[in-house]
Amino acid sequence: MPMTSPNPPFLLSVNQLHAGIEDKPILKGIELQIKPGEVHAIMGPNGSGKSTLSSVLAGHPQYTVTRGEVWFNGKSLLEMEPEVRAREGLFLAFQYPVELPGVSMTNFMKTALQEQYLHQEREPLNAKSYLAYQKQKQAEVQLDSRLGSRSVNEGFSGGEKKRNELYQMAMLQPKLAILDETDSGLDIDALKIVAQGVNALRSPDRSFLVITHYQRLLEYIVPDVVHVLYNGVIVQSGDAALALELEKHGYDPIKARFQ
Amino acid sequence: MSLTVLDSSQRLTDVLQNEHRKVMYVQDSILSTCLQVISHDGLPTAKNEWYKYCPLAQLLRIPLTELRQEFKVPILDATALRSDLELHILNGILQIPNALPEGIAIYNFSDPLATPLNLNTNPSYLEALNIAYAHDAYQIHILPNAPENVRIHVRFAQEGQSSTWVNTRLQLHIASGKRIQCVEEFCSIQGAHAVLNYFSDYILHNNAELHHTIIQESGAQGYHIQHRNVILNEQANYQALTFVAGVSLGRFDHVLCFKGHSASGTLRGLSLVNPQECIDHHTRMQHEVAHTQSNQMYKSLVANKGTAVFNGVIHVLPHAQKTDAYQSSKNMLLGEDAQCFTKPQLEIFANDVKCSHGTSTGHMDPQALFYLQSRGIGKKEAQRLLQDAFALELIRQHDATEIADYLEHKLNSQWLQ
Repeated sequence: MPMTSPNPPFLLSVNQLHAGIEDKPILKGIELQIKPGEVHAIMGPNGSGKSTLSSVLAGHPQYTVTRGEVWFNGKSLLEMEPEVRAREGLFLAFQYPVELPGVSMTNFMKTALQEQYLHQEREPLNAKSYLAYQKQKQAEVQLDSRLGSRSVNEGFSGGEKKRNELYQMAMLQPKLAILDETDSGLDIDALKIVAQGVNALRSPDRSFLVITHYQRLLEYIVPDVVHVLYNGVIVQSGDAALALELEKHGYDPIKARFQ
Repeated sequence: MSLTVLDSSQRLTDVLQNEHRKVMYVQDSILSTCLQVISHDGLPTAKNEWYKYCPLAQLLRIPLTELRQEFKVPILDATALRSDLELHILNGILQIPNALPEGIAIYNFSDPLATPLNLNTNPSYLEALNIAYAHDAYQIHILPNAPENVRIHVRFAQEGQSSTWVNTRLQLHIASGKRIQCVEEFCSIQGAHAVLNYFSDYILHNNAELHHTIIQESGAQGYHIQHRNVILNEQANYQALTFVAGVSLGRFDHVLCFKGHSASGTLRGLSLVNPQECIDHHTRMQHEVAHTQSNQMYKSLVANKGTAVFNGVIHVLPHAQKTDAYQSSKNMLLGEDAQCFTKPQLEIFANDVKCSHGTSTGHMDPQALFYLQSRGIGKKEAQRLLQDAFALELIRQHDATEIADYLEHKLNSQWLQ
């Protein structure tokens, strides 16, 4: 009997999540609820657990969940393998996308899409309609079609790697996209392009969890809710104005209050 | 008659006096040297540095009988590879299904027209065995009037309801300026347990070029000892890819002797090692003159309880200045009990050379695996993609697309299922 979420209006519901790496606790009771179509931002100083949260949600085997539960679209997320989470509609845009020499972009995305369609009991795309779909999505995120015929991320610049993450997101059409410090390592022009790409993918049935260090990205991707993560817990939540406040005063007041 | 004689040198010598020495193609002096080596040395054991990880001892139980008439000759399926000259070496005996193209001659070593076999040094035990117990030995001559870019496809198979040793030798002489493509394919025959003890020589005259592909099919329960010796004269170019997709025990020695300036050679090797199998590559790049170039790239995918070995010697003689030699060995272990032994060995006696090497051995990158999984690709499929990418890197470097495709198909159908 599959368990169902106690909070059906939420796409993602994280309750008392504790997780860490080996014996070191990093997340110490995360509470987070995201409704369909909402954009949430998580900010916080270095080492507060931002990237751990995204990795745990995506199912990275390096992290161990010690307590808590996560409901995703009415299903218990933590019981799923990483690939099942993805097929269910969760997408993580990596801070450091991995280079896969010898794995072609086309083969990679085709395989991913096939497995997703199979999981969702949809008719798989034939070769012709796949190519058309790929072309359309590359145009949507302005990915150079030459990159699309290379090995995954191999020899891509920082900006190209981030844009490739967006392209994969556009291909896989997730319900929830987690952007893990997508702004890191990008200059202001590249940042704008990536933000435009994200905004183009916003829709009433797609939510975003934007993890970032700086307020800068949030000027372009305006969030509905901003959370401050510190020392493994969310210590403050507010609207977009909270991000501006953090930008003005830095994290020191937060650190002082919650030390 | 079936004799387990390899561990008993005296009896072996007795046998050689009798009917078992079917073909005698070398001078008496060489034969007697071989006999001395056989009676003096035993089959190399793990105590021998060159055979440390290669468990030849298991071959002792294979009798050294001759493949007699009544032994069934294997029948080969049609091949998908196109060639200008197809040769079959079945149970150690050459068959030529079609007429020879112009400018190509094939002789037995015992033929008066053949170039006699010369041994510069004492033969190893296995070579001595190969010579003294030869089923036969052949020479292929690519003459100056041969057509351009001749494609030769040599297919080997041993029948083996009863196990035995097959000793055979092939020599390929390529005239100046000729460019040849040669595929040696070792086919798997169901239930064959033979030991193939195969020696081959490739003599590239000035400006000659040989594009060589060695394919060891999977599924063979056989034991393969293959020793290749390549002589490169001025500006000769040699390129080889050895693709081994499974053999109980495979020992592949590949020696390149650079004897003429501006000669260059590249060795690539891809080993797909199944459980309980051992695939052992030993290479030697012998740079004897100045301005020569060598390149080596070996990769192996090792299943749990499989063993891969790579030992690569780069030997640069004192006057071989401006030598440029590179070597790399990369291995992916696919289980906790997969083993890999790799050893670069640089022996440099000249002072103005560029020699380098690199080696890496490890499990599949967990970050890469997670990245694929995070896109919805199942773990098994993700592993398959990463193995495929690892192996294809070498295959795609092959300059003949047809052969690269053929190997890619073998990779997918025989390994990455």
